[in-house]
Amino acid sequence: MERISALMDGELDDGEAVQEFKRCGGDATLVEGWATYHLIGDVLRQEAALGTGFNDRLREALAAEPTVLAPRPRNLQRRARLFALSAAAGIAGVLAVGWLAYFNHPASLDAGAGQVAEADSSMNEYLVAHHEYADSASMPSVTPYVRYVNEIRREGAMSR
Amino acid sequence: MKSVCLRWAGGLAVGTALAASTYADQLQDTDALAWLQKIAGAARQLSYEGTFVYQHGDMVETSKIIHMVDGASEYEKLSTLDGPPREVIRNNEEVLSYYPEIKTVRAEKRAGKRTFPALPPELLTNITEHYDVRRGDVERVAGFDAQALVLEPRDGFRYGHKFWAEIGSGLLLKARMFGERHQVIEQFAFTQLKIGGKISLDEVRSSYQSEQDKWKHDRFASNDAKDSDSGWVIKNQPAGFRKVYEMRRSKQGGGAQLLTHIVLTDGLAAVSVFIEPSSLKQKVNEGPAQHGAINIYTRIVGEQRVTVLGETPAATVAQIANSLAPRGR
Repeated sequence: MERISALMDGELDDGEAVQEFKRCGGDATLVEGWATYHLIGDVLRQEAALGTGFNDRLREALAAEPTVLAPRPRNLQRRARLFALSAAAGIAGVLAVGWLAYFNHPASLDAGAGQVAEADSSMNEYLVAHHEYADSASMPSVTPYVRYVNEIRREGAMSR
Repeated sequence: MKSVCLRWAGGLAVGTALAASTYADQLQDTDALAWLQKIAGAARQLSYEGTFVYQHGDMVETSKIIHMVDGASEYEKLSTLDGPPREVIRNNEEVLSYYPEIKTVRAEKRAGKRTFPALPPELLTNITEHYDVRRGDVERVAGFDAQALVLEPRDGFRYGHKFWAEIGSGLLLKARMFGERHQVIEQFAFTQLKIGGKISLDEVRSSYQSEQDKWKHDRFASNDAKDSDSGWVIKNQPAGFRKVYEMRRSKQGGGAQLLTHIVLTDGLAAVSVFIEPSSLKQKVNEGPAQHGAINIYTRIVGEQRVTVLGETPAATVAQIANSLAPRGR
């Protein structure tokens, strides 16, 4: 037991420590002693005490516990991406607090395509027709005709 | 000993939480779908008036909307509050667009009633197949409590969306569209809104009604030719997109020339395909282009100019454009 105490206090050299661990492995009394010394240490340091025999009680409790048949997470990768999305939305939400201030200094929204040519005026008619028909053919992702009314602002004097 | 025990307890707690959240998500999915249905119906079935801000590309625009439902009839008046004055008056399928500075009214009448008062079940199924739909938090928008919904695309052919719907009626109060890197591409939000209440017919009439008889009238008619197809096929359609319209329509400025317009949708994102003879006089810029939240792809196929555009990633419009061909070739 003295050697266990010395092991705990870090008084054994590497070789002796390894030997002591091996001895512990085969002797229940020594293992219990190791646990008791730790318990004494915890109590002296006023840390929460688990009591002796905690190991046995934990093992018994686990054995009595019903097996939890948890469904597998459907798609961890998707979950991770969703988390990234909500994180991004969180940041965007902070921006939205200063809605008017933000709109007074509109940063160009990034469509993500990089350096792509801006549509020329020959597209006007197509864009108007697209908003007029296509938006109402789908689940409204903005209120119907919102894109349309904004598209026809650009139409007019110059194209007629 | 203590650390071993804590790790055990922690592991159990994490396991339980994971199991619980998976179960909750499954519950939320059906709930989120009910919300989609509610949103789709609300914009057309409710009377409301309000002011909204719309941002796309580097443009920010404010407009006013008055929407009135009277029995089976739908009336709508949209007017721009900044930039050139524009007014759109809609009565069911007839749309009148007013351009006061050039004293012009553009009238478009559709053949047949083809808008959806409620989301058709097959479109809803299509949405859930191609987007992961989840319910978010309740947040405040334009003074209302709003239920947030997140629609995350399952592949690279479409953008993500976040909707905020008024908790009682389902009216869309705010919406954002997200790109591949979760950057915001387009957003729309009411800043002031009144839902319900009595709206008179006078409020949804044009402000230019008394003078419009002296204005120039441009009339457009479209002939929905879905059954008699245009003779063009999309050989490699991106997953989830289905044809909802196929029509021949008159061109701006009149003339006998007709334009073929095909509309595809995945239930949420719409793509338009335009086909018309390419004139020698007009230079055509082939390849990709962009306009706000819209990606465009132009190609010359034989004598025809093919233009594909929509609120989708560039890859979607490019794939459709590159796989368009006259039938049988």
